Amino acid sequence: MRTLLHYFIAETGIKENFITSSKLVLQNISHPNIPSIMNTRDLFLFLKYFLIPVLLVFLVSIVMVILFRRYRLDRIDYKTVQMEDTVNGFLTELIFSDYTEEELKLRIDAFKKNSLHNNKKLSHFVLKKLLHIKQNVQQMSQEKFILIYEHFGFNKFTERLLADRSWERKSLGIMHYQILDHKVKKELIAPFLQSNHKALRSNALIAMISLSNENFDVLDHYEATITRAEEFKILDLIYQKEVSIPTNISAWLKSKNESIVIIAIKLAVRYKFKFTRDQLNYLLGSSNPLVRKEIIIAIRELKIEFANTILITHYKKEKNLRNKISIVKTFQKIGTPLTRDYALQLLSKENDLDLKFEIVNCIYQIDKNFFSNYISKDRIEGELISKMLLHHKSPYIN
Amino acid sequence: MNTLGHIIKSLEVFFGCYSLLYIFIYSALGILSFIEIKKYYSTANFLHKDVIIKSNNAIGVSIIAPAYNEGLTIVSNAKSLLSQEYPKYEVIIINDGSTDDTLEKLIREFSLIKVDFFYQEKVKSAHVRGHYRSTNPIYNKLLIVDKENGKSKADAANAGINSAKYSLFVCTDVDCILRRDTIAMLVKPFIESTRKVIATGAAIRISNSCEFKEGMLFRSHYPKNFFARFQELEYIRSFLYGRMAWSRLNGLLLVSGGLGMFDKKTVIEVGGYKKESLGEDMELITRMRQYMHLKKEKFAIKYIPESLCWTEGPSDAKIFLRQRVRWARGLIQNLFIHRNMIGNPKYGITGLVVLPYYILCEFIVPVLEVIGLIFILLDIFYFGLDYYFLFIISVAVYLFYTLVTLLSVYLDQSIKQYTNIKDIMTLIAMVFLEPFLYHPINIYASLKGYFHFIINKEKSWGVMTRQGFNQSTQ
Repeated sequence: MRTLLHYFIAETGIKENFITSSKLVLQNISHPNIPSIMNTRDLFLFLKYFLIPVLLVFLVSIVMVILFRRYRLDRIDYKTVQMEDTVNGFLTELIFSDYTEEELKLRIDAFKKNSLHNNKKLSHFVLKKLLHIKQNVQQMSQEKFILIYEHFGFNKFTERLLADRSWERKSLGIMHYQILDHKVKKELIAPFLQSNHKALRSNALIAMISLSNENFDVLDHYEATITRAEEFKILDLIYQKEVSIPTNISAWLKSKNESIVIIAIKLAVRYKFKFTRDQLNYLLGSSNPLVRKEIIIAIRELKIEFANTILITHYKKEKNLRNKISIVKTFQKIGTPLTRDYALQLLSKENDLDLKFEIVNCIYQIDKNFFSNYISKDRIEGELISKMLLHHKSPYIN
Repeated sequence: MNTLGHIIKSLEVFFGCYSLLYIFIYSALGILSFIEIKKYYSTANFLHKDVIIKSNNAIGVSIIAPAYNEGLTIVSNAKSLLSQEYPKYEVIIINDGSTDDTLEKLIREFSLIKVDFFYQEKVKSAHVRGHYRSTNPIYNKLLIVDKENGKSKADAANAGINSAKYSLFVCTDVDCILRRDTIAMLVKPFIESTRKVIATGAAIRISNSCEFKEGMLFRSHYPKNFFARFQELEYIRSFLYGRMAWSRLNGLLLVSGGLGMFDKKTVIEVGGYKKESLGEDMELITRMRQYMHLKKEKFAIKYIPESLCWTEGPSDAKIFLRQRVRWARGLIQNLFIHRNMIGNPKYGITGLVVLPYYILCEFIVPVLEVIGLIFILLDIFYFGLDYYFLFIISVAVYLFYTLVTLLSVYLDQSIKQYTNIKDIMTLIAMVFLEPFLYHPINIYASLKGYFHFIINKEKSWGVMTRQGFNQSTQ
């Protein structure tokens, strides 16, 4: 340490005689039993001539950076407000007017020359606005958007993004094609489905689904597990597209990839798909409780009345408490007198209070007068059921 | 050299080594925090909150907000909580035996009537007198739980957990103003993570000088009040420098009582909040971690670096000291209750890293600072002190401390947090003043808290004088 410090002092031009001539009388703080790595003088010199100046430089730099960054953010906001009207006006005019292709090109060239001045930030701002309009304005000419996008030269920018090493920039490029619904660019995105980067792979999958035909064929052979976040995005995308029911939904229900099965069931609910008995039995027989839960919810949402007996049979085999509760909730919607009688058997058999609570509601929903004449053999049980019933009867709770 | 001399020399070595360790830990936390914040913002749009808000499959969330004598602001607070942009949620306000007109105001404003709510005491709480629902369909998301005073926020929160119908709940203070997308933001990690997420939290800020419009933040300003100013600074450091780093390491031991989202099933399995605890938020997380380690189930607790919640900071020294004494007492109490976890490999990172960190870098610091001062005095009287050396070492410590705080401000100000640049300049000035003006008061409060723990002083709900929120005139 001493050698290093002296080297530092020599290199930085601090005269050793200045230090040695210091009036300080520094004691050595090393303990006799602890090996000494630095004595007090070294520490003093280290702090005074290295750490303190370094910390000071850092502090001053950070203060400057914080203030400069804020100043820059204010400037960007100011410029954005100034540019917003110009860019919005120009793009609206381009998109909603009947210009020919040549006229469009001429106007874009003029705008680039007079307003953009080769300023990259401004041109990115225009791209952002163009994509924003595409996302929010329905039933506009797809060709026109692509033409404007390409004539501004944004296609080159997107290609550069896709070729970039950063997954974030690649994802941004993928998003451009997805928003523009630029179907021919699918092949540029497809390789990213094999990426090792989870987020990039996911973004590519969503874009591929968005750019695929109305049957969303990309899901047919997708082997990786679709995460919950992806599930949210895929469903959002498919709902937004307002397409007719995908024809391969029956195949997805039998997919070996259980995450695809779950999405298929959710889509089935969305499109009011008509399940067959065999399909219900097959899905309720799944070893994955999440698949079973999803199909139970689907039966409830689609009010599949013929599923009563199927669910009664399944209830006896179901081990998962949440799924049992879900089945009873489904009975509340599709139940018949037969189901009521079965629920009554369960009422005395099941001990979990949450489950019992739903069973009481199930019986009440199927037969509103049933509990008027019901007397429980057990007084405590009877009181409990009465309390549950009062809850279910309250119009302000449910 | 006599015995005292040997002790002093040994302690000098100890303090030297401790300082090096402290600097190393804080430098590492800074780096981890930076990485985590960068990762957060680069993946922020991976699942956009709007997708969750629009979804038919959104996970249901119950907002639980205990209230004790909040008559002055309860109506506007309830309306603010009801303004969340989320498809599936309920707001549960627990009137914890208020002695003012909190309940009456709620009944009048929201047209409430008592309902026959089937209440199960899954976690312990004081007697619940009744549940109230609104007859006005506009407020069908609101549920009021009226209960006897349980002398703690924990007890009231437990009654809320027992009344909640959804699988996730947000625990907040009723006076907190939440950003409209708070639920959507907090629920995101539960959806995105492949591990079981048991809790999420986000940054909290001080509302004292902010302007609010229709129950929502309109303009953000740096507080003008002395204590609120430093508390805001402290929050920035704590949330952005500390908790983001621990989030990266999956070692979070604290999700603030002011704002946190929890997995209800796990909370019930561990027995809910502990009424006896003074740091009930930290104690609950410690117990949840303990439970998950024992279950050998992989789990995660995540933090979001965005400010989602604004809370009123203490307006005077009395309230401030009471709050800090309680926090300090909560810390020592938590470490004492869970002392069997410390250094125990059975509890993974919690036992081996997180709890030792809390002892070394949180609990022991005020004690060491006082010991340090005593030894300086002893040095002066018995051995003579090199004042210039003391000055140099103090400057180095001061600069390191301010560097840590300033880096937190740097991370915080990557987006526009305040309306004016003037606010940022004041904030920076406070960074340099904090060690002189605020830190000593904090040390005093911590030591007082430890002392109260040792003498086992009785605790109760603190009385917080509400100033109300500044309404924007625009």
